[in-house]
Amino acid sequence: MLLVLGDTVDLRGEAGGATAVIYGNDTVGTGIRTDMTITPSAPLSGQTVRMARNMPELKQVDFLLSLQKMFNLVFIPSGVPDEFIVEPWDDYFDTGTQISWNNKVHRDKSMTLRPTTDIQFKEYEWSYREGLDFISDAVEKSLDRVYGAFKVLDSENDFATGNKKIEASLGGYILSLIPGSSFPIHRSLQTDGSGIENPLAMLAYYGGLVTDFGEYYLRTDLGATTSASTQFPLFSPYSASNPTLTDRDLNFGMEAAFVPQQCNPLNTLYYTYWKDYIRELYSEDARTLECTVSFDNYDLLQFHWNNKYYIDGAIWRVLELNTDLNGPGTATVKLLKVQDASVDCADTPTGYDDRNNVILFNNSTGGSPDYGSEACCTKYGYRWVRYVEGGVGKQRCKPRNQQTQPQ
Amino acid sequence: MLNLYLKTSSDNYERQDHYQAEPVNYAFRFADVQDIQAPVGSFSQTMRLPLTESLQERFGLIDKPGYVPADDENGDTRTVLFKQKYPAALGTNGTPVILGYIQVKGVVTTGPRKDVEVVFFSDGINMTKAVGDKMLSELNLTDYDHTLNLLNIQSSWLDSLFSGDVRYGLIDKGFNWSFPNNPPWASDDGLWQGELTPYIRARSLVDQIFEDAGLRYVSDFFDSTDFGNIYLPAYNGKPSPGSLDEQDHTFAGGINGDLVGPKTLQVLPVLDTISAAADRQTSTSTETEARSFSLTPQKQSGTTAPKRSSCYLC
Repeated sequence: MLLVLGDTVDLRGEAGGATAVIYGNDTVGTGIRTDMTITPSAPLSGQTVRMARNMPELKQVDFLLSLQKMFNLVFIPSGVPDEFIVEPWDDYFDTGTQISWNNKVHRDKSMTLRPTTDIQFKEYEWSYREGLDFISDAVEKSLDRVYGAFKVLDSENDFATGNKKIEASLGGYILSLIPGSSFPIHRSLQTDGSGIENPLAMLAYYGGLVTDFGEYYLRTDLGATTSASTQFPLFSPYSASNPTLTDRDLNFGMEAAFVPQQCNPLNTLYYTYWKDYIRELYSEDARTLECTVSFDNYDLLQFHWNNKYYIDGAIWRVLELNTDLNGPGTATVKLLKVQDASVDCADTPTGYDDRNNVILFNNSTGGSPDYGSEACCTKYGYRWVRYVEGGVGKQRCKPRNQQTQPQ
Repeated sequence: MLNLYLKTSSDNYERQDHYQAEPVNYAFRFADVQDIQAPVGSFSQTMRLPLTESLQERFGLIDKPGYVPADDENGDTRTVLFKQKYPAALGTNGTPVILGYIQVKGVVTTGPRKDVEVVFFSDGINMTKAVGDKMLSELNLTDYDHTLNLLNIQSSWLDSLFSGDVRYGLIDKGFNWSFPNNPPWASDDGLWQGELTPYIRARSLVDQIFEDAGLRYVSDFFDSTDFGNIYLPAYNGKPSPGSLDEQDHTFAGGINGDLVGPKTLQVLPVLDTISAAADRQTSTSTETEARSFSLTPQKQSGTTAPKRSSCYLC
């Protein structure tokens, strides 16, 4: 029963005869009585929404840490009191100054060149928290992992040990269709269909008002149903309403979606923000260098973490620096070799041919396509399938298919 | 040679004499900088400053044991420096390099010579300490409070509600919608406004976290269009967006005694003053919220059953 301001409710009765009785016992809830209880639902409209009151349960610092883990952010004191420079690791180091230290190295002291095996882990994993919704539960049970997680395993290193897990304190924003419709939303439901009492905080892109899903209806402030609308506000893990290869994905690793999409975006969180960082550690020519350099207080004034230093034919960045500010003007440094921004594989996916549902590589076009290789196709997360054309079988790299959503 | 500089009242740094030859070991580690849970740039160094005339001028009569600030004819209370951080820097050639503060630890007198012992602390920022253990729900987001109505919902989609910092979207919050059995809407049964969920721009939360902690940031990333398009659902499990003014609207009442033989259908005298009654919504309420109510009338007949009892909404 809907009640609005001004409505009244009364209880009416009549007895069947002069001596018939409608009982009352001056008590609600017990005994032989006539009583009435009105229990309201949550407000449906018109309330003052207090945004802070609606926040999911999460510490502010954990929110910042989650952003750091998702986007590989560095928080560097800017030199101004209480001020930080905050940028993704890639972007921060791209802006550094290159300085030659060739003539600053003290060659009469030891210089130690090492591989990075001692600072590598055997396995790196990036993940959101285990989801509380029924889709997350189904994925975790069937695949033994969190939806959207990503792993790097260094199987060739006999000496790397241990696992490094980088886990955001958020849940993944999983999109699925309202059953029986084309409307993609996040369905915060447990496996028994009930709501989640304390849902995880999540992040999603706003995809704008989308007209592809059909008609829906709202209510006015007085509770009347509006006329049909086709402009539906879309929130999703993808940066576009109908994502393709070049769009962004807030999952750490590529997943087959539960909703239709043109092509799984290549630019997952790992691929966009963590790939180069990992390459610096795991590349075959990854190296650290320990040496002594001339380092006076002027050098200290010029020092920035994103500076790059040229020594003996390679570019390095500083991991550690120790100096006596009142000393002879030297410092012992530990440096990490900067890797070229080279690609992960010989063939890089760069486009999508929607006419043929095929991934294109190396900046090729549909008119002059480069279909890549199976190794690179699967390395980047896509499917290598046989593509029959004119009776002659060909092999092509294709997007992952839409998954059937759990019921 | 490293020098100590003290900040003046005009925000300049003035070099101070100090005794040299002590090592000042300074260590940088990128891992510390990368970890926002670690204090950044923490460094300290003890040093002795000769109590020169200018330093005496700066610190006051801290070398006089009998000096009582309250008795000072000039009202000089600068001895509070023992309890205060005094802005300072380490640097070279007139340029402060490492900013921080000093703590005055004591005065050492050896014959005619007087030295002030200080400890220099560099300005380390511990973001975790600055932000503390506060929850997102403790952020000052009152600037984003608004009335839930159709105009605001539609405005949120057009960048007109707080310039797009708050937008409304749809989450199945336990309704378990499906077509055709339990549809979220029909042509004569639209979505209730409370069934929608407000989303807040992630950057707005970052800005408020920094502001509340007394910190600032410089970031092309946070300022980017891409990050500006990322939102957090303001959803904590409640079926409708919560308001601070939520009141308990439960009502429970009944008749306080038997009614004999009312032959015609009439309004029964339901009272909220009988035992175990409840009327948590005042009659002078100005609530304008639309709510749905469930009604649980109870009636118990005696030896002669009443003809009927009914409930009407007027």
